[in-house]
Amino acid sequence: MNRSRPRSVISALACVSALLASACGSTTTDDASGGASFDNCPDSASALVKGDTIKVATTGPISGPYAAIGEANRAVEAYFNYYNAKGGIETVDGRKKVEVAMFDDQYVASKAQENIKQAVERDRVVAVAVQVGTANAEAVAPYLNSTCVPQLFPVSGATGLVAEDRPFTTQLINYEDQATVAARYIESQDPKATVAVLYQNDDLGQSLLDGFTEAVEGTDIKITAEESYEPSATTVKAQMTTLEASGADFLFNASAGAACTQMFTALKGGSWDPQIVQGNNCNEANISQAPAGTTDNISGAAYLQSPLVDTEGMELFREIMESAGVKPSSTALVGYSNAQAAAAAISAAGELSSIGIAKAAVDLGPEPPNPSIYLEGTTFAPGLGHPLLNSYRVAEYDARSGSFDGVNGELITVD
Amino acid sequence: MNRLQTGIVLPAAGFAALLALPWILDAYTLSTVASWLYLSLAVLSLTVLVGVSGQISVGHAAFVGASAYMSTILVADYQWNLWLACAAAIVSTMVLGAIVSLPALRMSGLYIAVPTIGLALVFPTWLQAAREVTGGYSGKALAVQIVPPPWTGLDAAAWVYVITVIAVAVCFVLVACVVDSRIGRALRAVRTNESVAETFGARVASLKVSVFVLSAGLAGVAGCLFTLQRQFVSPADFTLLLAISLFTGMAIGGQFSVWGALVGGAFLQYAQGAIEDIGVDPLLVPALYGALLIVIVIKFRAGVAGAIHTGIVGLGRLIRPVERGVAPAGDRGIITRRTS
Repeated sequence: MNRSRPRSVISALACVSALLASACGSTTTDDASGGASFDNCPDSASALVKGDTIKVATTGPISGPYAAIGEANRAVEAYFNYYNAKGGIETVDGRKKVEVAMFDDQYVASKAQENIKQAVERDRVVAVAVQVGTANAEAVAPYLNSTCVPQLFPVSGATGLVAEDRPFTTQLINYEDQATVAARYIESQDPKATVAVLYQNDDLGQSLLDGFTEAVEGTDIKITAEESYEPSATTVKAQMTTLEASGADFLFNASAGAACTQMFTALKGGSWDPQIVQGNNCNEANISQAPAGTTDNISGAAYLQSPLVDTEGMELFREIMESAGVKPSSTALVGYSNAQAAAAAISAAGELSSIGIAKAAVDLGPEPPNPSIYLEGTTFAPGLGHPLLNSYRVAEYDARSGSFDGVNGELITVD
Repeated sequence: MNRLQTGIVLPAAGFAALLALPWILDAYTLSTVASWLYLSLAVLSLTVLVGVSGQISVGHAAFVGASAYMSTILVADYQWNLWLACAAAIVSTMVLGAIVSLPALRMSGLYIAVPTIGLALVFPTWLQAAREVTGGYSGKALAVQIVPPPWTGLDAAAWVYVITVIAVAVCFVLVACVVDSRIGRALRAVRTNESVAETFGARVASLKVSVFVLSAGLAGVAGCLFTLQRQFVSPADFTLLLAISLFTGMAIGGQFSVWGALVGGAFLQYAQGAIEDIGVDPLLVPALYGALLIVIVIKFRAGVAGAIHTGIVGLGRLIRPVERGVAPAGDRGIITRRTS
């Protein structure tokens, strides 16, 4: 025991010093974002870009269990590389190439924080162009707003990501708006409709459910049954049996991923044939795996054309993706469209600095930045505190082509 | 090196060097050093449990996460003082450790790993399910800014770094003392053979629970440091992947070495970036980790610290071929040696 006494003394001293350091030490103040605004920024935020290259960063799950979603990041890189090869994008200061620093965060928020810190403090990026994941975007939003680096169009449909005091964060769409569109569509079909809801018990499902519940308030639409499932669930058969018993005319589908496919499988076994309405939460890849005959009656809120159609915009999208070795999927399309919005903000910036780009990003619209990939008639609403896109078309799922067709769908604008 | 150098001078010099870094490094590099130290502490919590006492836990990501979440929630939602919240979180994590250790009294080896792997699997799922409290999938922000005391002249990031260095140093010294004490020797005896240890008077049950509580407490401190550094928690930060990473870090640093945990932490913090920098596809990184782990388990069971120890001993023999009767350094807790 004697041998350890000197060290015990050291540790005791160290303990005491640590406690003292903590106790007489720091305080905390409320408001982590520090009430960010365009006028309260470090000098670096208004420094103009020198040379003919603009540095931006993107972070997402390039490896790990969610690597498939990282296609969105690869699409961002492919998009900018394509235009770099053509000489760059137009800016107020002439043509500039956009150098994309792509980071892997494996869908882990703390890794995204580290990546973004590296990008801002070491690589001196002017903006973060498209990052993937709600938690990851939330984790870096206070930092980016306090350092005045634009967080351009993260891939996230969460409500509350953008706010008046987060002027450097811009969002393209959110799930609540999509649920509102679904509710308005149901009302236009049958003002006294009964609706059953299946939702995933996480933020995605809850946002859709909250948006839907709020939108049907004050209408004659009745939600007759609500069933949730855990994101890890392998089947939703029990929930679907309960919903079927309600005999509702419509099923508001707030499920995602494999559970969405399972939902159709459960419908196949029963006698219930509701009209299914959703946001863009359950995509073509999930629906195409559903049993035949169950997918004839699906409508969803859509703002982009199907990646499969032969329009000029989508042909270019497929060409850019295929030349970069990226599968032209719905996920890649989301990354691509958000990258286009980011590029539009850079092009529209009155001065080529972080602040200039952030101001331009919240001011995009009313026409979408590159109408050739959006559904006709969809519009942006410039301003702070809400997602930019404010109108959707209701797209019908076409089982033969395996895609949503929204070209002639009803156009619905959200407030 | 003599005992004074290895036991006191080297750690003290390292501590002083770390404290000087805020005046030398840029903010980003400093944040990576802070993160390295947090990870080293998390690895150390496993070293104590696995290396010293021979119990296996794959659930330490949950301990780190529980502490990080609890401190964040207490500050963000209940307006607790940050330091009080951290203390409460650490104590709660120790209680959780005591509860989880109970099956360990009746089981040994891989059988204890099963309930702990369950804990690591369930924890992030539970965080998502208890959305009202935890913020669900979107995570939760600390919602306050840490303001350093004016007399330090430091900015918030440097202040958090200094606190990290002090907390980690205290924990490492504490563990080094425990390992070097009678308790440490009793724990090693339990690891080698429980029956023999009991015959010699070691109270196996209380030792096993105590070391689990100590280990959980260290993980709890690591969790608080996570809260201080990131000021944001989300379920994806504390998945089974972190649990396995900590295990990998421990194996690489050396499961029998206290200071090897620093090597393990450095590996976790810097290896992925280094591997990507030499042009390896990030998708292949986990496979490389796996291969490395296999090599270490087969060739270097005492990890990097063990390999260094073997190297130093080998070099010593080359220089001074005849030297007998000196106790091996491993039993002094600096570089502990496998006794089984």
